[in-house]
Amino acid sequence: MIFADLVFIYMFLPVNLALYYLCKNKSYRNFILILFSLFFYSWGEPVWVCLLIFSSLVDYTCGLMIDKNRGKPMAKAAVFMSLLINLGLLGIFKYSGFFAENVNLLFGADLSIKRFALPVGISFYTFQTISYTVDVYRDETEVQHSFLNFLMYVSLYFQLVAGPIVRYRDVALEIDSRRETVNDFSHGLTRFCIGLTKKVMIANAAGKLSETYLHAVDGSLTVLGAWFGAILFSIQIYYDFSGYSDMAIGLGNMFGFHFLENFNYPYISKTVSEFWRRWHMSLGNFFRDYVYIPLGGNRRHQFLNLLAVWFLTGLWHGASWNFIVWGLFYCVFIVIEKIIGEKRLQKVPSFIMHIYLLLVVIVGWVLFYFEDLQQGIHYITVMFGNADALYNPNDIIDFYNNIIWAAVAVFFSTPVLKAAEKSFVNKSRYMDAFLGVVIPVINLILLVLCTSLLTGQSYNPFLYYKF
Amino acid sequence: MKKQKREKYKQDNFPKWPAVLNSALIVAFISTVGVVAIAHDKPTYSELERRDLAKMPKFTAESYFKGEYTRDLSAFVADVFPMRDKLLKLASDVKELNGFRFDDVKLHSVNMQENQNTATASNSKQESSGIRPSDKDEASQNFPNPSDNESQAIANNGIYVYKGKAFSMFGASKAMGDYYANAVNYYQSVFGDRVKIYNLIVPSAIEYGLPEKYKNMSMPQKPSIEYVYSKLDPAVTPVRIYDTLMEHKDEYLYFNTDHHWTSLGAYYAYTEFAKAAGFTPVDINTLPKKTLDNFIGTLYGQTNDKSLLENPDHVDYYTMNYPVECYRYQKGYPYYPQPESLYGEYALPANSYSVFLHGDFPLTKIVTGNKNGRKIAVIKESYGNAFAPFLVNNYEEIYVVDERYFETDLISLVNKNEIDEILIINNIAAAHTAFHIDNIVRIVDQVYIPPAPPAESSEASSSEEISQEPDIPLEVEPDDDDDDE
Repeated sequence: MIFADLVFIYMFLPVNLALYYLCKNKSYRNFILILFSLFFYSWGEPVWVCLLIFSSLVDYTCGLMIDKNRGKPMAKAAVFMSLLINLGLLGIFKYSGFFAENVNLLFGADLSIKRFALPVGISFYTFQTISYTVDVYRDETEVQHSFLNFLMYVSLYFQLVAGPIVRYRDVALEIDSRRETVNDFSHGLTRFCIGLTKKVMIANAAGKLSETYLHAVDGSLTVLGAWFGAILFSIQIYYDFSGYSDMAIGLGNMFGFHFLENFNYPYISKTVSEFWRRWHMSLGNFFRDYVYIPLGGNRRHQFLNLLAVWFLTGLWHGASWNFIVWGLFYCVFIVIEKIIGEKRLQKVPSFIMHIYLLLVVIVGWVLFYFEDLQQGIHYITVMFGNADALYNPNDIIDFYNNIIWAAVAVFFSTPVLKAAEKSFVNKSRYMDAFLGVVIPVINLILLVLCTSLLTGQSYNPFLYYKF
Repeated sequence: MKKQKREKYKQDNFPKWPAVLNSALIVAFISTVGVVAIAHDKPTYSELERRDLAKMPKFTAESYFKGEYTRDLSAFVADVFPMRDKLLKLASDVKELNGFRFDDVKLHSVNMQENQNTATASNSKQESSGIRPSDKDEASQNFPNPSDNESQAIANNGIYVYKGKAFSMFGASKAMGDYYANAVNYYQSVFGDRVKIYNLIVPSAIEYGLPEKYKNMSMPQKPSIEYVYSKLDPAVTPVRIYDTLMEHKDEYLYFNTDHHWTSLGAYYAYTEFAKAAGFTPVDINTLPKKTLDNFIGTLYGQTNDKSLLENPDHVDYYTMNYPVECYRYQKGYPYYPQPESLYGEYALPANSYSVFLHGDFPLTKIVTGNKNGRKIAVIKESYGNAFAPFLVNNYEEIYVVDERYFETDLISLVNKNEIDEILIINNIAAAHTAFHIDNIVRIVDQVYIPPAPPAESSEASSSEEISQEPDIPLEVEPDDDDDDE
């Protein structure tokens, strides 16, 4: 199931809330969350629930083994086994086809290529479970003795299918005992409505519009059209993914969890390094803590470490060369920025840095979009002039037809809401009273608008669903 | 001091009532809507969108484990959601706020995802038609079939709405034109020694209603048509209507909100066909006219553009000079005709175009009071429906064959009834779509296979993809012609 679905919003969620809050017992509450999470997951992928439970069982056991055998080789073996099984599953289900294809290509071998349907969310939950065993091994978090509690952590439907990658140690306390408050609940609802709106009103519209350009037939694409397509996709992927994270965080709040933020207005960054500190932060942190630093970080062969991290970041996004190129593309800019040095970059006028960053990101998304690398590179050449025409009448109509929407999309990709919250919330009794009435009304309006779009629209993919 | 006070206010007196209000209001709202959505009477048909709504899917273990059951259930809930029509109107209002119309033009992108689905659907049909060996040999080898995906992408890159009228863009590859010409030539080689073959390609509305600069964004249709005609066997007679329609372009030739042509547009095509076939066309002004008002067609459904709702169509149809007896052959009953009238005058405003011949059926046989001995078969998609009635004035027997649904083989039909003329009439998009051309080829000598027992077929109809039935459309849908364009 996905959040932007009428069945979820109007049936699944109210029933889940009702049953959860009717139970007073904490373990029952956790049990209800497990049941609903498994039901949520099985909505689209009934078969893969077994895989999810298997994976949880493995890491639960490994965690116990590590804890029992601290300091002994057995602990090392257990963490190794956890890594092997988790990455093995990921490898089999996500990368085996890609691997076989390349081996065949390289060596002329004839491995039969079996491409599995990717179990939804596998890239996310395997990373979560890895974070658990590694952290237990490093003694950075307590071991979980209850399998049900551990299963709840892995299967929690808020973040199960599309992140954020919630690390065990960040929610360890809240798994065992958490306090649900009405303030959190209300906050979560508002957050959910905002995320839903981002997804339904901005991301979906951008996606539909961008296809005209991204799928344009050879020769019909103009320079302006190519930019439209790339920019629209940049809007789509940001609103889609950050909207999803908003909904996940909001749902967490409703049930007493506090997840870390996953996005921090990435498009206002000035450098590529900053962009990646603001974009999909949970993934960046994961690679930092479990790959980059263990490899030696910036103390030993830093550039090699960067290369490894960005290769993996690319590969994580999909079993295809374009994702790897996309990762390495970022690596190049990050290395360049490191060589130039932060201090010198700060002296460059900010608008130049903003333009630089947006250029890199937008071109990057084109590489990301086209799984056929050649097609992507061709598209980029069109953006930079390799076209018959600069623009055509259709581009102009599309521009006028969607200008207000586009302005809204750009406006809200900057931290205006955050700034508004900072300057109005908790400043005065009257303001809070005013907001206390206005916010629910806005939430209701947003819900109705999203519902109206969801009823009529068949285009509703979650982009990060396929990772 | 002041700052301290503010801090204190934050910590101690933080008012909880806004949180309670927000929580209570939103939760009450979603629960109420949820209950209503489950409990209310579910509609089965949408007036606004002119289509049947999704039905409650049947639960089977197989469909559940494939994830189909839940997907269908989500679609069903969205389709029968309370106040759906109002919500859809709200959605189109919201979309209208996205920007401004420029030059009165709004460009709607067509949902690519859906098109990809139709492309794969037609591909799978193609494959299943390969069950018959003869089909494989002739259809696949003689006519190399160009990649369908490519042409689909070209053909569907948008719908213009200009001053309350909608226009689909056209685009197609030359390879598809070759394929179509080959299909027509195949008819000439099979029937040519005893039957006269005509071919007529109907241009689409965009050629006649849009300002030049936007029209130029669509592929010019006259050269495409002429290209096909240039590839035809010289014995086939092409019927050219492009210029004739151009002379009348200010008349009501195409619908504003639907992708079909009007009976007037079809009439001008008929006059050109009369020249080619050597008969005197009837004068349309002498025919009694009837009208169905308030027709909102498929292009509204695809764009949800408000300006179309404000510009509804009407469907004119004419009583011909001769009495007629019509026999309709429904799907699944290719040997049991059912007497029927020429026009389905009951046609709902939603699909008024199906007034012509009651919509699309595998075969409609029309016997007229004009005992001149001329017999013709019309191979058509839905554009042919508005056209065929005019032939009543000039033929004794007319066999209207829908290339998509026809179940028996044309060779026997032509031989048994001593048909001596065949007109293949297609709109330009259909003439450049592999799905249609495949079918035009297929029906020549296909073998009729009775449909599967009802229990199985109902299961199969829940998902088109798993259907193993060769070529037999599973549902009788008179207005099921979305794949035309």
